[in-house]
Formats: sequence, structure tokens, C-alpha cells
Amino acid sequence: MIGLHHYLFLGLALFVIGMFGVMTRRNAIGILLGVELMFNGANVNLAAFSHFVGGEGFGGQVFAIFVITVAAAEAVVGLALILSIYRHLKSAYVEQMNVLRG
Amino acid sequence: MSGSDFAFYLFAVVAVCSALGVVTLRNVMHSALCLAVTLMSVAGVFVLVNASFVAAVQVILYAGGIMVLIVFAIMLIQRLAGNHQAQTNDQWVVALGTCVAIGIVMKGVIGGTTFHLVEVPSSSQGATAHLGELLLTKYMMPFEIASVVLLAAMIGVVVLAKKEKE
Repeated sequence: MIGLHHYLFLGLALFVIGMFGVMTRRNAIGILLGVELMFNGANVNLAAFSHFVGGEGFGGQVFAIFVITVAAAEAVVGLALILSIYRHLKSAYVEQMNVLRG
Repeated sequence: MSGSDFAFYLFAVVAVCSALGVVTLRNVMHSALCLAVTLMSVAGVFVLVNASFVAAVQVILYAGGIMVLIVFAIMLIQRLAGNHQAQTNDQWVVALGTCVAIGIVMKGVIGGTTFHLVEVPSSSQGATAHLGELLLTKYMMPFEIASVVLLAAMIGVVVLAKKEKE
């Protein structure tokens, strides 16, 4: 039988793999992909808790929907930032983004 | 093993394997496509926990909106040559140790906690109708604020991505 802790382990695995991606990727978009993985790990946790522990019925799912919405806004803004940095530096590697004022 | 158990294991294995592909592949476009596979399998996991509307939102917004955006940005940024450089920086050993340590600690926490499992009664309406009610009555304020957040993000992106007039 699949219990609550199976879903929590899956959420944990996705979160930890995303965290590894954020810490080690050199490409700025690769870091953004890791952040999206962490969001998905948290969403799996929210949906699993909403199903197994209850709460007010579906509060966890509402939370997950808002997480997806805010993640969309954040990904869009992050990509616009990376694009405008690329126009200056001609490179998307974060080790070259070391000057606060270009 | 029942059908839903098999489905969970299938979705979980596919999600974790493609997540590993996201963080290790050298070509950023391949990483983005692996992330699309991960998002679709997470949508399958959502269906298994009776969150069908969240699964639909995940497919439409995440795999259909954000992934297309990321692929566009990669195509705008990536030069056509030079995709063979190593994409992992020098701190990967420390990062791997940290992530494994956090994973082990959290696994112990999850395994050692007894949750008060409640059998949520499956009503005749289904999850989507309840979600619609909740979003328009109890969670209306976050709903409206989310619209404002999206508007602010759109305006910010237009301002950020404009070419500078020199």
C-alpha cells in the first residue's frame, strides 16, 4: 500500500535533487531549472498532505495552485533578467556575473 | 500490487530519473526537456492523490507554459557551438555531501513521525468543484493578490527585456 511517507520521500527526492542543481550548475538557466524542481517537490508534499491528513479538505491543493502561479511569475522575471544580463555580458555562465554594476 | 501502487512507482521512478537528468546533463536544452518529463510525471502523481485540478494546472501552466518559455530563452541565449563544456562547477562534491546529508536527516524525520491520518470522505462533487468554491469564498483574497502578482511580473518583464535606447 502506498502511504503518506512514500509521497513525502518522492517530494524530498525532487527537492534535494533540485537543490543540488541550484548549487552546482554553471548556466543561469540550469539554476532556474533546479529551482523549478524544488517547487515541484514542495507541491508534491502539499498535495500528499492535503489528501492524507485532511486539514480543511482541500487547503493543500489551493496552496499548490498558488505555488504554481507564483512560480510562473518568478520564472518569467528570472528569464527576463538572464536575457538582459546576456545582452551585456554575452554569456550566461554565473561565474562571469561577478560585478554588481556593469 | 494494485494498479495505483504500480502507477505511483512508475511516476516516481520516471520523475526522479529525469530530475537527475536535469541536474547532470551537459546540454541545457536536454536538461529542459528532462524537466518537462519530470513535470508530466509529477502531474501523474497529483492525479493519484485526488488532486485532479492541480494536475491539470500543472500540465497547462508548468509543462505547457513555463517549459515553452524556458525553451525559448535557451534558444535565444545558447550559442550553437560550445555545448560540450562541463556544466557543473567545482563545488559539486560539497553540494553532493550537503544534499545527501539533508536527505538522510529528512528521511529520518519523515520515518520517525507518526502523522494523524484522516480518511477524507470522497464526496460526490469531486475535488475541482470544492476547489472552485474555496477559491471564490475562503481564499478569494490570495486569488486576487495572485492576479496582481502576475500583472506586476508582466510589467516588470516588459520593462526588463526592452532593448535600451542608446
